[in-house]
Amino acid sequence: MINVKYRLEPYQIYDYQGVERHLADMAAKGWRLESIGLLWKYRRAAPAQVRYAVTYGQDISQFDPAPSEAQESLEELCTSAGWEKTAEWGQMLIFSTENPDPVPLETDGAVLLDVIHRSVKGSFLPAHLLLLVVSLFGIASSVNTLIRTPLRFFNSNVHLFSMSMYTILLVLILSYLGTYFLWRRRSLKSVAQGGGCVPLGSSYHRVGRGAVVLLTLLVLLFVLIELRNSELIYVIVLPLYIAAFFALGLIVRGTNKLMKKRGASKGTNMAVTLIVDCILAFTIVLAMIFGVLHYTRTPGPETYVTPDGVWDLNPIGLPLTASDLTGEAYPHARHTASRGGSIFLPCRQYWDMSFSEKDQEIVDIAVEIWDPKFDWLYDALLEDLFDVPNEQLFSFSYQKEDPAPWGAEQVWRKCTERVEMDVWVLAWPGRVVCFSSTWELDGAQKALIGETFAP
Amino acid sequence: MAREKFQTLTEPMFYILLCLRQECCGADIAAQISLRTQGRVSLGPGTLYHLLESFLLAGMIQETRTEGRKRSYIITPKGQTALDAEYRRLLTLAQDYRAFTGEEEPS
Repeated sequence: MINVKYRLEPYQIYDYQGVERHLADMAAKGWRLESIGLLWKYRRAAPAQVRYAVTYGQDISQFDPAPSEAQESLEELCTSAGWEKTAEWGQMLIFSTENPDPVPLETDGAVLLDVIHRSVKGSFLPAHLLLLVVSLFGIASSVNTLIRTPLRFFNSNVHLFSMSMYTILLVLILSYLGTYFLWRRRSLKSVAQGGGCVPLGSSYHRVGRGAVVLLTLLVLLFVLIELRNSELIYVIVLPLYIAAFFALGLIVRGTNKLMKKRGASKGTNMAVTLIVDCILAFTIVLAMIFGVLHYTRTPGPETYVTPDGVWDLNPIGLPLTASDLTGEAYPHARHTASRGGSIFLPCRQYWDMSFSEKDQEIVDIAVEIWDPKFDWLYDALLEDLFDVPNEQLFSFSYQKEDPAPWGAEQVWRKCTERVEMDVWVLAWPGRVVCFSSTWELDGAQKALIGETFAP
Repeated sequence: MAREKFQTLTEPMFYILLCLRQECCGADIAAQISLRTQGRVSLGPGTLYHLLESFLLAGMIQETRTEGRKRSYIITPKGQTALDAEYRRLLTLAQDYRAFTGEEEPS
């Protein structure tokens, strides 16, 4: 039988009524709050009608080696009124009693509202304003990319994912801040009319839970899409990243506790905890970066070397190879295939480099297949492809050519002022293909390419 | 803010200052108020603590001694002035009431 359980609770520091109600409900179900850390720890007990009450200590700091005289004095007052201290959560002190008619801890709504506001200004507001700035910065950065280089934005699921995450975070932070200020305004009004603080609705819990569900779904969707793209790295990195930061939280909390145990001063405790926090966060980020680099560097197929290059021992299959086009069997070949882009602009890339013994030269073909999901993205893609940066000596452009041999709707060929290059852009409704080869293609080869890559 | 806050005293503030005309610890203040008001004014320990901290900050009371977790306080001249001012304000209210209603002053 499980006797201890940990829960992630959705309460905010100002929601004293929610905390009191919730803990009483838990006690009635046979779970008593024991302590609050990253998670709330409950211990199994006989179900009972326990009353919980919350008050706030203004000078409480998690870095203090021991409770201050003022905090001890507050605790003494509450104890002598029949309450037993259960847990601390930031500046919130939670007391409980089984007395069915206890003296309430707080009897003056105006005083309580003032104390809560000071607690909120000390911890909740700075943290949430910082998150607000971070989410606004993230959204602004994504919107900037979206406006300036829409194709770059839609060319990666990471941009779509991070923009969605920052938007959900923004909605969550705004709902928490909005809920607090709305509650405070209504409570001030109630207190001015001689009443107490108004009950806080649980709608912000729903927003919080909704945001967690949305974020989880988003992460799962992202992982599934990247799995489809064979980007296993994200599937491994994401859970690792989340686990690592959870572990970071535990270690930082452990450091804080250890420093407290050793009687370190508030300043020393803060400094050491901050240093540990920074070093660990830095280490995690570095480990992730090196992990990703190491993973992406892991060799693919087995290769062998000849004086002409490095070749695959068993080249992977491609939809079309140089050998398919020329009809010549090449003894050495190197094939790569990859998926990229995003769910709105998926892209597949194939590359075949082969060695022709007959001509004693390397032949290669490279193909990029884009399937834009929107017409405007299709147009933006073509515009981007045709926007070729000019080099010092050459001025590149794409010239239209007869699409009939390719069986495509439209075809453009890359040219300089004097020379036609072996690079083409083929377009069908909903599909754009960039094809390049190291030799001049004939009609049959163009037809085969068109037939292979047509949607 | 503190000056504005204590321009008029609420009932709990009034009774806390009244109790602190003699040195008293927090728990005794709550008991005395309940006794003197026959339970009409009930002061929660949290509220009492916050008000004592505010009075200390405003210089209206001072700490006299600490015994273990118990702290004792006494009113300062500033606190006494605020208490007197509140008393006069209440008297004025009562006088105004009598003037309006024609009720005689209780003997």
